[in-house]
Amino acid sequence: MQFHLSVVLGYLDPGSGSFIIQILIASLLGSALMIKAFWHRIVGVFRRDNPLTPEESQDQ
Amino acid sequence: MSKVRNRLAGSFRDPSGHMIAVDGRLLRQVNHIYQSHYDRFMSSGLYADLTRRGLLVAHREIDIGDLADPQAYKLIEPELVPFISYPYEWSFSQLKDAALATLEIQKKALAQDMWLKDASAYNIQFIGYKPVMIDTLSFESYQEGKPWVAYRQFCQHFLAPLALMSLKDVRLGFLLRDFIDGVPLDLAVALLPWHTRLNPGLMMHIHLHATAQKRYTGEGTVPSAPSRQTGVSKQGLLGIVDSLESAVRGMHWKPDQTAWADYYQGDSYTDTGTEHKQALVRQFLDQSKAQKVLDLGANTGLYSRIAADHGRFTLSADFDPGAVELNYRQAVEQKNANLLPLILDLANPSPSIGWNNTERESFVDRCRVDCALALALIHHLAISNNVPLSDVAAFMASLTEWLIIEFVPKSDPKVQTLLATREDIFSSYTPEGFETAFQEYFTIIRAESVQDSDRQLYLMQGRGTPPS
Repeated sequence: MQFHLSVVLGYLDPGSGSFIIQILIASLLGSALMIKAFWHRIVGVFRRDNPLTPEESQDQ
Repeated sequence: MSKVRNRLAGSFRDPSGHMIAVDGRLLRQVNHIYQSHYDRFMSSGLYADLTRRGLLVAHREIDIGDLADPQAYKLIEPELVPFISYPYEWSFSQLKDAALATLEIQKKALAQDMWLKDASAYNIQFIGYKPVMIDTLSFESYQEGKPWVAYRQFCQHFLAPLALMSLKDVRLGFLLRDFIDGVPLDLAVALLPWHTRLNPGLMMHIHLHATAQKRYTGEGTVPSAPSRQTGVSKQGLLGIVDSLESAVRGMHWKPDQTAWADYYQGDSYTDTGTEHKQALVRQFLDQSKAQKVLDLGANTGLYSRIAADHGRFTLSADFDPGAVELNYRQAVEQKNANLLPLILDLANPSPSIGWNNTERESFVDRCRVDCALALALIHHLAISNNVPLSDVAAFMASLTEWLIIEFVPKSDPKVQTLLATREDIFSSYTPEGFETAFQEYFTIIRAESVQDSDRQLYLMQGRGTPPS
């Protein structure tokens, strides 16, 4: 199935290659982020002196 | 009587809306085509969250009145930033902080099922030390499965120039002046050192990205539909954004701190002379009652801070990327909201660029201040760069009403150094010649000798409003 870029996109030309590279790396980077988040949670359990990241502190 | 409305020359790319000047006010027209995205952006809490965090300029909706444009859905009046600057005028850390702000905004948007439809460096401006997005119409509803439409733009506007500045030469940031859509990735690949292929972020987002661009150029189609199954999942997209953030955070550039730390010690002033000069600058600024100040040849911003510390908005411009970098870092450390360090080569100020030469204005077109500081500068312009004194005076008069300027005579060691390797062809470079040239455009209000030196510090007021 062919998919015309112009049908679905806004005013920017995203570039065919820039679309395809994202499709190629997304699964890898998505999984890496999940592992990273999991790891931070594990480390967080053992680091009670600083339970919140600056971001979380700001959110409160 | 109908009001005068002009679309700004640089605001034409996005059909969602554009900036217009209405009787001297800057407004943003939101078009019907963008209505659903705008309403969602405002009602989802994203707008409130981003403005509360200082990541987006706030705006108020105003009466659309007799706006004749049938495309118009709303008219909004954004808070104005004190000065519009461009990425090729930013130091390394300014571009890096602008990149991180863009990614932060993208993450906040995705949390509300929206995303950025563009990631242009021109959408970020600095309010003092803080990068803030100024394009309210950059947000649209997220579509599951679709890759990020602004990915290429982010890589070209931010990642590639940062990598080049950090890993090759900081002056490559000036490429952004030649390439208004950001540094082409194949050019970045050609210039970056080979070892950048070993950096996972740069390998994917620049090297592989450039290869994919080359392979699929002009195809207009992708092999399969980027649907929920075959496209980019939201988790995948968050992974891409996180990876871009890591790549940006991983890039560093350190100017030669000692060269600039030594500068003020080596500026041919004794401690008494420096203190006296600072006191005079303070007095002259007070006398001018200026609110908006431009410090030309600011180095790391010692005298700019005298202006900014009294609540005046101060542009602190220097041609050296290292000095501007140190100036910006200090502004961040001090949370200085009144000081904006910028890279500016007075011998070649930022030109007008883009479509019709009007998309991005020249520095001179953007800059009109109440008072300019030109300290220890005149000899660089008149002797190093051969600019006639009358031309320097005319240039200053086009920028400012008040001028605090230091005359550095030929007897000064700094001028002696400049003349040591060249013929002295500057017969009119004398205190008298200087005063005569400037009095054509300015009235000399005060002239004081700086203690322990041969230098003179002047406070001058323009003779009239320069032609616009």
